[in-house]
Amino acid sequence: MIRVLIADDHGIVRSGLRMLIDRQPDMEVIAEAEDGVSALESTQAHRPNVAVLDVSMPRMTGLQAAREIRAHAPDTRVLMLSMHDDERYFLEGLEAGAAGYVLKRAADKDLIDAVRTVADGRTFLSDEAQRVLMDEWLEGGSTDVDDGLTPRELEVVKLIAEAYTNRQIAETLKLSEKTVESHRTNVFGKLGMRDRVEIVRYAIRRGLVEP
Amino acid sequence: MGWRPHFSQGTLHRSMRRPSMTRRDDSLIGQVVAANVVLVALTLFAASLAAGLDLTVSDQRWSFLILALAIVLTLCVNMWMLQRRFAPLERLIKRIEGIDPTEPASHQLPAEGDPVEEIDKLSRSFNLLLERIEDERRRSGTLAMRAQEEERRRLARDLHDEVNQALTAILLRLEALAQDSPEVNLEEMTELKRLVNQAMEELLNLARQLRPSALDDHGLMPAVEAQLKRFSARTGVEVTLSPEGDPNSLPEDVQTAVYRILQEALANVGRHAGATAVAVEIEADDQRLELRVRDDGEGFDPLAVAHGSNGGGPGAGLGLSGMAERARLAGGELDVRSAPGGGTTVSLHIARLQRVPS
Repeated sequence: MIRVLIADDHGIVRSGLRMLIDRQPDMEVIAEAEDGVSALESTQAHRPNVAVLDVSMPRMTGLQAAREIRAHAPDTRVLMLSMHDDERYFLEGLEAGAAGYVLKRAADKDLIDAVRTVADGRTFLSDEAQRVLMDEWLEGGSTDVDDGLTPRELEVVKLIAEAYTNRQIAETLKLSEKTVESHRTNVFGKLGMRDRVEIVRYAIRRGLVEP
Repeated sequence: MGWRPHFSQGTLHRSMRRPSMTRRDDSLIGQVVAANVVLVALTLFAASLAAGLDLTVSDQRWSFLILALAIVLTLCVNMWMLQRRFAPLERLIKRIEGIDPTEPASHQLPAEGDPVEEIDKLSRSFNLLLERIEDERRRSGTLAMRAQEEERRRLARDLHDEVNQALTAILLRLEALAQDSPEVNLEEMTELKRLVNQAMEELLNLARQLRPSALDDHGLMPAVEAQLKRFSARTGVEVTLSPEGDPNSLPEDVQTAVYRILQEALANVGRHAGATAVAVEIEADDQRLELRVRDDGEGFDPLAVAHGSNGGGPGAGLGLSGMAERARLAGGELDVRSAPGGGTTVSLHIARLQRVPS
């Protein structure tokens, strides 16, 4: 049974989500939240398999809530639900550590699929998001760019793009947090980038992470 | 409002009888000359009385003639001097009359010095007045523009947050229903979902045209990138973007102006230009901003458009005046270069970034 938390500041959307999810034999909605803060609290209290988060919520946005959940309840997989179909919103979702991104207007087709996919430990992107990110990947597709990154730094880039924290990167790569921090500083410096969203985009272009 | 006086007595009389601002005979110089005529005539009359001149005596007629000539000569010199003295005033009046109310700042009078103190003062205070008018115009224009953007933002948010959320709920419920409705209804359910879907997409587009949320969420450049991608996908026109500097740090009003001008320029390219490629350049630093939108389309005759924009002729509706107004309010200027067959370049240039008075 997949245990699902749903968070959206619109009651009508929550009840729609609940109606659809509860109808699936292998899923149940175990909690609802109407803002980011209560989504996080609820997640910590109930430990759902999947948290479906609306991107824009009061008190704490869905993106921020996703980051917090990633850090404090890493077993819960996050599925972002959003109106927005701009590339930057997808990238932000991935950067925040979401395992999936579903557009509200494709929710009828995608939602149930997406919940199952991310609960299964895989990544889900709606067609629209995939198309946009593939374009991005094709545009910057040349992988022979010499950006001066060492193989180790590329590994760090990949993990940053997958929303790992410094501590998690350190554990994964068996390095000290200090070393990771200096790798991170180098990477941002060499690539001339300001935020993690740009790193995610770069990682997609380089084929370090799959769109 | 010419002031060149007439010499006829009748005119002088009339002007002294009933001064009025509108008649050319009532000009200041005319009045001064008239007053001088009267004074000189009175003086001479008194002098001739005192000297005991008598017109009936023929010797004295010559003296009288000389006196009369002296009067005329005095008046001519008087005229000439006054005309010279009043010439700067006349120039000032011409300048003031020529001022375009939409662009008072471009008509500043020469800042330094007219040799005549009063004229100089007048020019200075007139320039100050122009500056104040321009400040006030920019202030109210900016406020109006902000109010407009705010209203659009609110509308876009309502479409997004209220209408589209309700549609999302409908879509989810339809899908839940469809999952256990009998086979015969499935086709109809699918069609219903498609219609809801279409409505959501149209609302999203509408909201985006009103005010793209990316502009508020992510800043200028991501919003511009998204706009260009959508434009390219919709029209098939190839678009390149070369950004330089950090446009995201621009003041919000300037970001909005850049976005809107680009939006209008692209709309023109899509509607009129028949272009195959558009190059967008944005350069920004702390001091200045440049936006250039170049297309390889048919172009147009800027003069024809300038005239057409008043009468609804060809080229009207390019929104050039709206773009120029936005540029001015952001403290910059808009330059549109085009020639039939030679493509079009729209540039926004802000030399000195500043906070608009609020």
